[in-house]
Formats: sequence, structure tokens, C-alpha cells
Amino acid sequence: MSANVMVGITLEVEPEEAFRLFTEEVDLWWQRGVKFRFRPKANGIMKFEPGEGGRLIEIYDEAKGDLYEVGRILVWEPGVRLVFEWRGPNFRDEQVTEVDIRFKPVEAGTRVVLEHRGWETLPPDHPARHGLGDRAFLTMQGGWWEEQLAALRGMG
Amino acid sequence: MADKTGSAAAQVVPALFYQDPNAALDWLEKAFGFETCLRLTGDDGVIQHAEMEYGNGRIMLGGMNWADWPSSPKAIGGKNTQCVHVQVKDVMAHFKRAKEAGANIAAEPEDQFYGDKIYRVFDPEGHFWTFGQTMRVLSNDEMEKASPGLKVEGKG
Repeated sequence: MSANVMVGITLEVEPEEAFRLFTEEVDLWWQRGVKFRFRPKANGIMKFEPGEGGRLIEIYDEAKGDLYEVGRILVWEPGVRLVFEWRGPNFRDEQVTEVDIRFKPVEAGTRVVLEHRGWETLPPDHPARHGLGDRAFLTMQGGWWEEQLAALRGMG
Repeated sequence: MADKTGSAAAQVVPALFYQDPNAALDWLEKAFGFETCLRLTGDDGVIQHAEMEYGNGRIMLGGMNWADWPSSPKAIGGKNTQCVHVQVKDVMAHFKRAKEAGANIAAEPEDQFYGDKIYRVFDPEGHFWTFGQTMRVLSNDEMEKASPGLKVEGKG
């Protein structure tokens, strides 16, 4: 099994629009600062390169090709599902987590259910765990996505 | 964490203990229509903590083996020391959904002297729940007349 966190929110828009907000507008809702962005002092722009095989990246200088690659996009089904790999800057090659987002039509609009799994690939002493036990680390990670999705809901 | 003390957030949040929190979460979605908004799962695949929403209400659920005092009704001969009551928009539809999911119905929907129709139900681990809908808004005098000799005070 895999250690994971799941966060769900409802957006008052159709699934296609929820998917568009999540992907095209990622730099607007992805929170800023060292807690959320990938280089502490850089002012980057978050971007999904559309389609499977594309990437989630933070761009610092497009002309120089200076960017951070969060991970490859594995599933790109507009209005339905988005899956991408997620690596922190201090992850080794074999340390990779996966973010899986489903967009489900509901009466009020769209239920966005985000699952971030694969945390068991990080050893207990990995710096990304901040010295926290399993429960406390997952609580922190769940809270991280709750804050992110609260910002997304503010746009929906 | 996302702001859970904002004006729109539920300020009273009951937490329930289960022997099998994974099964409980699935069942509460299917039978009672709760929506999972946060789920934290450990390396062993067992849910450590979850939060579910119903309208503007929220519950938490988790396991029972993390201290010596939590327990599930299933582990203590079916005893409950409290119950969760949920106000719903259509109590008959809710009852039908729960019954179809195999819920153990303790009392079918029935009109109460205070103007609500409620039903009572046990979940698979024996937690006792009540669900109600206000059918008629009554004055205190009207409630007293309909009651078995009770004095009714307050704003209702």
C-alpha cells in the first residue's frame, strides 16, 4: 500500500471549467512563498504543459530555459482526470510521488478529489518529512493541499 | 491548514472512532451521502484521519487503537455514549438511500411533536445516528400541546 493524502472540494463550475482553472490558471491559485514554491528566493511561474508527456514546471527565466520540473504528466483527460509526477527539489531519482485529480460532476458543479500518493518512497529521515512522524507528516501534507485548493475554490 | 475557523466553517465537529476507518469512510459516503474532504492514509494503507462534509456540517473519523480510551460501539457490546444528528433537506430520500445501502434501521421516519420527521439508524460498527427534516415550524405553545406534557422553552 501507499501512504497518501486526499483532499476534496466542490467548485461551482462545470468539470471542463474546473479542469481549465486547475491547469491553465495554476500560477494564480498555486500559493507563493517557500512553503509552496520550489526555489526559496525565485519568483517563478507555475505552468502545466498540456497533454500526456507534458510537464508541471516552475519557470524562472524562459529565455535561458531556467526552470524546475515538478514531474511529467501521466494522464491528461480534460474535465475528467489529471495525473502527474511530483518530486521535491531534494528527492533522489527513485523518490517520486504521484498526484491524481478527478473531476466529478455533482449537483453543485464539480467535486475535485485530489490524491497525492507514494510518500512511502521517502525514507523516515528524508528532509521533506521535517523530522515528523508518519501521522504528523501526512497531516502537514494534507493541510498543504487544503490551503492550495482553498485558493482554487476562491477562483471557481 | 486551510482556515477552519472562518465564518462559513462548522464550529462544532464530532469525531468518531472505528475499528475499520477505511470501510467506515466508504460506507458513510454511500449510505449517508457524506463527502470526504480530507483523508490521511499511512504506509499500511489504513486511514489515520479523515474529515467528511454534509452541507455546512463536518465530522472527523479515525481508528481506535492510538490510545487506550477510544473505542467503537462494535468493540463494547453496541453501547453508545452520544449520537450524531444531521438535519437533511429530504429525509425520506435520505432514509431510502441508507436502507438500500443495507443500514441497520432502528426507527423508520416518523413525525415528531416538535414538527420534524426523523429516523434513527446504526452504522455498520453500531454508531447511532439520527436524521431529520423540519416539516412544520411550530410555536412553543403548539409544541407543548402536541407533546406528552412537556414544557417548551427557548427559541426553538
